[in-house]
Amino acid sequence: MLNLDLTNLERITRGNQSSLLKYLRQFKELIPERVSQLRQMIKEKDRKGIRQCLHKMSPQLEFFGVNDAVVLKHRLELEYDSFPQEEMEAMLEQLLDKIDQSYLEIDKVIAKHV
Amino acid sequence: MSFKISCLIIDDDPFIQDLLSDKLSFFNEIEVIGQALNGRDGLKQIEDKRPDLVFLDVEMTDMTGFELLSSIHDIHFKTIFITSYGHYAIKAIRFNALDYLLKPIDLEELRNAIRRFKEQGEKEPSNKARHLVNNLKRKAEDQLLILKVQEGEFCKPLKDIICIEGDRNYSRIKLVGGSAELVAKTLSYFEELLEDKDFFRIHKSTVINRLHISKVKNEFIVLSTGEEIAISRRRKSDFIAWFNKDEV
Repeated sequence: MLNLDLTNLERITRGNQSSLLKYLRQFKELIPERVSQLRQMIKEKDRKGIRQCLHKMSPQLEFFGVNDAVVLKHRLELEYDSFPQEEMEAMLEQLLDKIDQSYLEIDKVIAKHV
Repeated sequence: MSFKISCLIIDDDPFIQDLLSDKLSFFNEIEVIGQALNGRDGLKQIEDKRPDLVFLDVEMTDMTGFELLSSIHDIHFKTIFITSYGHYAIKAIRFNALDYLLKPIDLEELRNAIRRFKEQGEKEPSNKARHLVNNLKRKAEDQLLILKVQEGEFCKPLKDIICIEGDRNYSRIKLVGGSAELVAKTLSYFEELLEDKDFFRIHKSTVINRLHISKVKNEFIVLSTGEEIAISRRRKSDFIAWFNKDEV
């Protein structure tokens, strides 16, 4: 695995396959919609919207070990007005890239457990 | 037969709902009796199922957790907020001595929150959620500061607090009428908690309430009690800016 850390998932599901699959499928269901909202907010340069999207998706990403969203969320909280636009956009692109890769990895994990 | 704590989870994120529900299954004394994906359904289930404890999301699509509580006449349950939100929500929750968990919910933090819930139940504290609801409607000076203290609960309006003095891990809250309360919290805790309530840390060991400043002399302020407190050199320009700004 390049991006995902499944420690939290394994701990909470305690070897229960159906519970494990539930979380993996939930990631596949919820994340694309949130990513598309985030892309829209980036396009509109809507900082408040970006922050809200990150808030919404960061617990799930953090659970799967993708911590970039959390870092970005904190920076947006502390430097809401001053966070340079270019730097923010670069970090968001990096995050979206990582989410895309995680999404593909999730498919492989699901295939292994079905 | 053992007593079970009935819980309701209200959060508009299905992931958090499942995660919290699964984590609560680690605790034998907890029974999840319902889950709601929005505030409206949450309100209905609170009324129908009358839970002992509600895990309540701060920010939902149809309403905030605070608005949900405001719309309930009889808050018969205890509340633990769940949030991924920063300052504003957490500050309001802490100001009212309520409990909260940060998403994506750490098992140890959940364990501690449940332990605190059980301890509170035994001591039957005043209804903190009701305080929060009322505080949100009040002017800052009329808001009640609620703190857990050794003997139970400290609960005073901000306007009755003259200043707070720090002494390492303790703080002494000086009140109108000459009394004082010693609490096991640092002065930095109060500095942060009260910074938007018109309190200011005037030097390393004192936070003052603007309402009780009767005079500002060069290097000192005079409090309503007549007591003079030195203004730290390092904080003087910040103090002047704060003192001259419009009242909150």
